[in-house]
Amino acid sequence: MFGANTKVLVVDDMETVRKAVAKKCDQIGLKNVTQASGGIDGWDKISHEKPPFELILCDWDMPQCSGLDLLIRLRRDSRLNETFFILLATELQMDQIEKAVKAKADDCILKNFTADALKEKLTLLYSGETPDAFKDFSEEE
Amino acid sequence: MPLKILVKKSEKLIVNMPAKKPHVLTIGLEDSVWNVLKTKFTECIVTAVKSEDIEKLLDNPPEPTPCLIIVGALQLNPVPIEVGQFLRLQFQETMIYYVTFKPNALQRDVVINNGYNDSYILNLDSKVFDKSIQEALGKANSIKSYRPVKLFDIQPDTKLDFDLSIFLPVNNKYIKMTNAGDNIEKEKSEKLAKHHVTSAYVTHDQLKEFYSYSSKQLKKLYTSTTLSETERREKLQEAVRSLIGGIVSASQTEGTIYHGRSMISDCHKIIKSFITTSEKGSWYQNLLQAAGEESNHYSHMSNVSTFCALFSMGTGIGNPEDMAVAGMMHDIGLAGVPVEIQEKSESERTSAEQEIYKQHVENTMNMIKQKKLILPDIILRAISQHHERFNETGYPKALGGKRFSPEAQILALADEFDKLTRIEPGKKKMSPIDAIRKIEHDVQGEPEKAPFDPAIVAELVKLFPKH
Repeated sequence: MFGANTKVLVVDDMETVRKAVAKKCDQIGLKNVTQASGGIDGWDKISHEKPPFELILCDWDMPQCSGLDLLIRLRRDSRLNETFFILLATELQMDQIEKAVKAKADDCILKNFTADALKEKLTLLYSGETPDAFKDFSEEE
Repeated sequence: MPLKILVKKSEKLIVNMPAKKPHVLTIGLEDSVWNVLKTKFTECIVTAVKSEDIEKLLDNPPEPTPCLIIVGALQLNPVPIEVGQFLRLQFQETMIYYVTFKPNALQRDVVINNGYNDSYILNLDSKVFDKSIQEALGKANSIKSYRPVKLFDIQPDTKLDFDLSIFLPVNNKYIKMTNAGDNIEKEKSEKLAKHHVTSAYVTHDQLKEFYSYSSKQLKKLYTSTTLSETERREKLQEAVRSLIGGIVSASQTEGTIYHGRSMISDCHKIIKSFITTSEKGSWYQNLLQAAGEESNHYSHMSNVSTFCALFSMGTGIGNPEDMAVAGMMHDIGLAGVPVEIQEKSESERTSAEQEIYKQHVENTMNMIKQKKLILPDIILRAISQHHERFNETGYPKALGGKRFSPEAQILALADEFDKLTRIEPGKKKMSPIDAIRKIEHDVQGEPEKAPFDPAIVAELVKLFPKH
């Protein structure tokens, strides 16, 4: 289960949005939250963090290194296979969900979530359930 | 005086009973824009925030929660896209609009994809914008007030998860009939039935429980094994008639465009909950997500989906889950048709443009194939035939008569019904009753010339109040 000490990284190139996501983490009791200003900064922080982050909330649409790029890079590193990775997006088409599943994201969330919704998602995630949006694609895997 | 009449009369009063002044937030609005808009907000609490100060909203959220946020172009840092995303994370339910005097300031689809509900260019879009403001403020007025809802099939000793009230105009107040968690006592339910009360009132904050109750009631009827088939059909028809009746009477009430729409949205939520608790549930959830609740086609697709499920339940054609999925997917191929062609009516399109438009049916089928979506044949057939007509004048195959499947006809009728009743710029809005009257009128005369099977239309008409 996640708790106050769970190490969280929030990645978004938009500063206010990043802070808003971090605030939501704070509201649900996650007190150990680091912020990164983009995919490159995110990778820099991920690769230097010891012990590694346990949960990453990362924007999908970022210049230079997108959230999906960062996820693919992260999953190549066997040490980071256990890290929970959630993509945040302003829209989610079916093909995006498919890409996210392929890249081994743990969930995708539209960027209009409440703190309660985030808590609910994380509770499900930590209980090992496949997110609803992924279910059909996961069966194909 | 019969209770039913009292309840009906009260519907109008509800609209005029705001709970408190709505709160409107403006962010980075140019003075010139505010000067044009300010007269519309004399009855509101307005808070102006500089765009560079929006971060402060994180620690000091505005009270009460704004019902409307207007963002202007007077901002460079953060940029409007960031402001939109930030605001949407803070205010999930609030209407957020981007407003500017400058055409081409920001593309509409970019704006909508980044947290805003819509963007408007003044003075070009002034009328549409006015309507959106009125809707947002109207919604705010009803937040703490009561909403008339349609209750069907109230059985004695049914447990409700919400407070149920009726309105007594003589005393000008609401009387609570039951508290959330209580059973409807037999005596009360008989009283309601005796006075033919199908309208009651639920507070706005308990609507979610009401949707869930209604969908459970529908499901119970739909899957009932204790009722005889005739009884089950009759009761289902009655339930659907009651839901459709809600939409119809709401749109007939004066000055209640919002009200009419909200009844459609009530039905949508009931159907959504009905479908998502079935085996097709996760599929339907995915579709809703994939369609993106803010996209231009979303409201059309979700309306058609809802009407499909209602029409299917009421006429007994197809099953509501399949029909809802068909409705949600029937137009996904429109994504491959240029927007300027989509926006024209059939009579405005050149023949070359019409040919391109017709391609959307094939596009949809291809997209389904490409995405490897496995759908039942009934859904696939309904989607591929939704532009066919009974009199063989449709496309792509000009299939008519019995070859035009009943499920496809339900989808085509739901599509037609939504197109006739929706509000579009430059088009006169048709009431639901006028729309069903037109559909009925079109199939009168020689059956071979009818666009839909007259027998199916006759079943459909039964679901609407007598006109």
